[in-house]
Amino acid sequence: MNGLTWKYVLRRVGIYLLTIFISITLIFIISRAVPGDPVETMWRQLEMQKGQIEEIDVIIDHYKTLFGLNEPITVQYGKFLWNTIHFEFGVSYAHYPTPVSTMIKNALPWTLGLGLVTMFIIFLFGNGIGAIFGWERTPKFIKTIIPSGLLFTSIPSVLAALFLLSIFAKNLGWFPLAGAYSNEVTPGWNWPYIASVIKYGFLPALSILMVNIGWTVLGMRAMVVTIGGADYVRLAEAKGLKPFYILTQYTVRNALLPQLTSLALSMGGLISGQVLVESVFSYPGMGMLIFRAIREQDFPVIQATSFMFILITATSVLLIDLLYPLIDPRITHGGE
Amino acid sequence: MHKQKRFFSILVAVLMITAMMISSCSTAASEEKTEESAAVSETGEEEKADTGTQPGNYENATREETVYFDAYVAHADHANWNPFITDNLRDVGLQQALIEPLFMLNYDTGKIDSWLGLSMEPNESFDVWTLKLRPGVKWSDGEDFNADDVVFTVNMFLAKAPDLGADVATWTASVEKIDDLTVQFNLKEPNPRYQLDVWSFKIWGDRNSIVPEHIWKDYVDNPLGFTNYDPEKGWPVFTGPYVLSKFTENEYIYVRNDDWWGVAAGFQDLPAPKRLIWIQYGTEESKAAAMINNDLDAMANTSLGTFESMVAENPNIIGWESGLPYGTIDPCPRYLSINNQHPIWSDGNLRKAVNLAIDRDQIVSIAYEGGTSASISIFPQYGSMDQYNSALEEAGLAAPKTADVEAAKALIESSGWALNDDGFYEKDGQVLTMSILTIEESMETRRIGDVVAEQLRNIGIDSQPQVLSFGAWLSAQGEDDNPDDDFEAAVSFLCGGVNEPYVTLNTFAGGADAVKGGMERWSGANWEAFRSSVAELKNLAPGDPAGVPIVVDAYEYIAEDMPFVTLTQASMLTPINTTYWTNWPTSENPYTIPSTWVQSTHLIIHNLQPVEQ
Repeated sequence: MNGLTWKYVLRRVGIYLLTIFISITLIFIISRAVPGDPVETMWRQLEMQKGQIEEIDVIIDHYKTLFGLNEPITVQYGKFLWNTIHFEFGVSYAHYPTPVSTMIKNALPWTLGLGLVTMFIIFLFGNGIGAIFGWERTPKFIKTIIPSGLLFTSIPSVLAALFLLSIFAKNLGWFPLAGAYSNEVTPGWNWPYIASVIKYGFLPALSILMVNIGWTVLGMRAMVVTIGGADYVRLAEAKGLKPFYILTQYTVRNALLPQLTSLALSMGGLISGQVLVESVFSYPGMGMLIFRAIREQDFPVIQATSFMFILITATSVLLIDLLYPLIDPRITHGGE
Repeated sequence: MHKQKRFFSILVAVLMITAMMISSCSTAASEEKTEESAAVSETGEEEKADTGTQPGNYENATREETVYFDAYVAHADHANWNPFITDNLRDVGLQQALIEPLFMLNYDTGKIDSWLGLSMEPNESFDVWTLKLRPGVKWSDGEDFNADDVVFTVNMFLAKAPDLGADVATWTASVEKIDDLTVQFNLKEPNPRYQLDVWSFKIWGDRNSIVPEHIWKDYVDNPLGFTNYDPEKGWPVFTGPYVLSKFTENEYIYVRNDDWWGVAAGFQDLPAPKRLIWIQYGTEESKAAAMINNDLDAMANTSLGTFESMVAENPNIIGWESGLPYGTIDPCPRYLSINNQHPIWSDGNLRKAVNLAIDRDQIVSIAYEGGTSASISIFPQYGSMDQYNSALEEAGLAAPKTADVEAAKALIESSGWALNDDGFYEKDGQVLTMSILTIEESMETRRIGDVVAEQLRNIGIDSQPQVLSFGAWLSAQGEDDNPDDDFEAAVSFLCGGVNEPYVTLNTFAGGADAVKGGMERWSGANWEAFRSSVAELKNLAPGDPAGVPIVVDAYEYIAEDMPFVTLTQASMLTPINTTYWTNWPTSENPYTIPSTWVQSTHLIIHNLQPVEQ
């Protein structure tokens, strides 16, 4: 199995399942530890905003029963655990009777689309730029220019989003202020729709990219500098191999491994970092969904989206761990 | 060398493709802009032919024919147009363009204007109400809107409460059809406000919308499970002058129905806008940018700072007033809720001292930057409430606008408190404190809390604001039925009556929970007397002049115990863009309130006129 053993795979999958189990439990505990009753809060808020609601106490009790909130806490936990592992997240409190799974189904493709494309670009260009930045043969003027491009790394993505929105959407009018595609196109596999999606997703993607690419660049640069002094690189140089060949085949290949780990770990952070960016651009992804759910105290949605973020991150890390030996033949698990 | 060249070629290709994609997007944007500009600048037949202004084909109406409204909350499930789900879908055009109410409350006059309903009259004891429907009303699919639809809908509510129509079921025993246009409601007990509270637009929308029997009869077993959406069948079907055209992830588009019943029935002409779009922008900054760029015609509530910055960049943006406070008042005045069961604050003298210590004009100038007015009473200061507010002023019961610090201190000292070396009142080694709960999500309550706490500290009460999430704020005030909650005070808001005082006063009479007497947990002899006055008021029709002295009586009990302290009228600043559309409601043309998320937006849409370009 190219360095993998069944024992290792089973142990790693076991840790993965344990992580998921602990996460579900924590999500359950945290959501119930928050002060206030979510159903009561929602209805009282509704009453305060939209005028007196007759028999509001009866309505609140009715919905608490309907949502199972009047059951013993152990029963609630058991049901929550069972339903969550079956991807049954119940119905939204704030948008009853819309199933949470429908809301996630509507939002997830946008977030994955935006997040994966952005992550791919960050990985491709970040590592490329980082390699050039760290390579000793790169001209000095390029090494001087590159850091200025990383200026946005130190600011929150929401500020980058507001900056881009102000310049390119409000002042120049090159890009739309909000949304995911134009109302003049028909969703489907057609070019006007795809072009519209790219156009509408460009600024949100750029906001995330500008803030996140710097870490990849710096990480890759550090790895290239470190590996540049390794024995096998010196041997390659002594053998007379071309410098660029050494960079791509020896240095970058080896430097990519920790970058892959970092990529997996950053999945959750990247997606959760999209929350505010999506809300700035009213981009209809998971970030917007969780942002709205927090504002509406819609606990089933908050629980479900948190679970999805954890699941994506944990799964990415698991996959990377299992793929490692396939990527790098030197790595073996199980002491073989 | 060959591999190095190949690498750079690939790199250059990737960069070029990216650049081309960006360029094509920008080009597409410019082309769209150019086309749009052409449509704007050109006049005559060619423009009309190109832009789909043919009757019944308004999907591609021009910018000049379209009104863009701010949808401040997006819908969760775009393919669900059921008006009874607990969603904010109604805000995004459903109740402003599609669903018409039976009746609509006029905030200025206090009268109930007719719409789908022609009249609704009670018997002498207010326990039988007769509804007369307007003749000639039709659903958007051409079917008649008649008594059968009303009876069907009411019976559905009665069968399915409290999932839907909870207030209908609370009051209604049965409903019967008298003829095609007449329906009789038999109530469980007398209710003079039945028409207003159950069947009229009052604050947000008529929650009990009538639905077409010929469609909903197939879904009566599970009405909440019915999506009410099928474009091939022309669903959703309502009576409004617009029909749903389409929606995207953040836009809801409606086009005018030129066969709208109102024209043939002689009710109203067709509204001028051919297309209405409710569009959701993410943040206040992006909404403001859209207003400045003329991409949005009406924005939901905004802050004074944002409004002023918008006006500076686009002079076509206006408010309700042409100067400060720019906005109009919101139906929910702000007040200081005090825990009357708290060991310290159960002393009425201390609560009265707080009332005197507060400088309401200062709250207006600091917390609102002049963007609202001080409250006279706990009631919203709409024209329809004038008779009550004036009577309270004449009786000397109005809240003072400025502070009387000496009188406040004298009241505190009369309860045995004395100033300590730190400048705070102290008794038996205990410092007089007041923690004021404010809402994290509400900048307004936080600002008010800051100013009030500062004013109280100035007279010797060690007061601090405490910011909580809305849920925690509610919970801390005992909404979880815990009588031991020891909150001291909270900046609160009350959306009660807007044309008569009963609903507001009933809140303090323990309308929801008589044991607690509301969040303030007011109790005692004055509260009992207050409750009697409110019970008397309950039996009078809204606006009955006989209610005025009763309100004054009730307010005298409030003044004696001061269970809460009124603060300010809430500000509602709704920016309007007059670039493409005119005749919006303003203080000089107050035909309705300017909120475009409530159902009275129907009036705005019918009044809008295109600006001559």
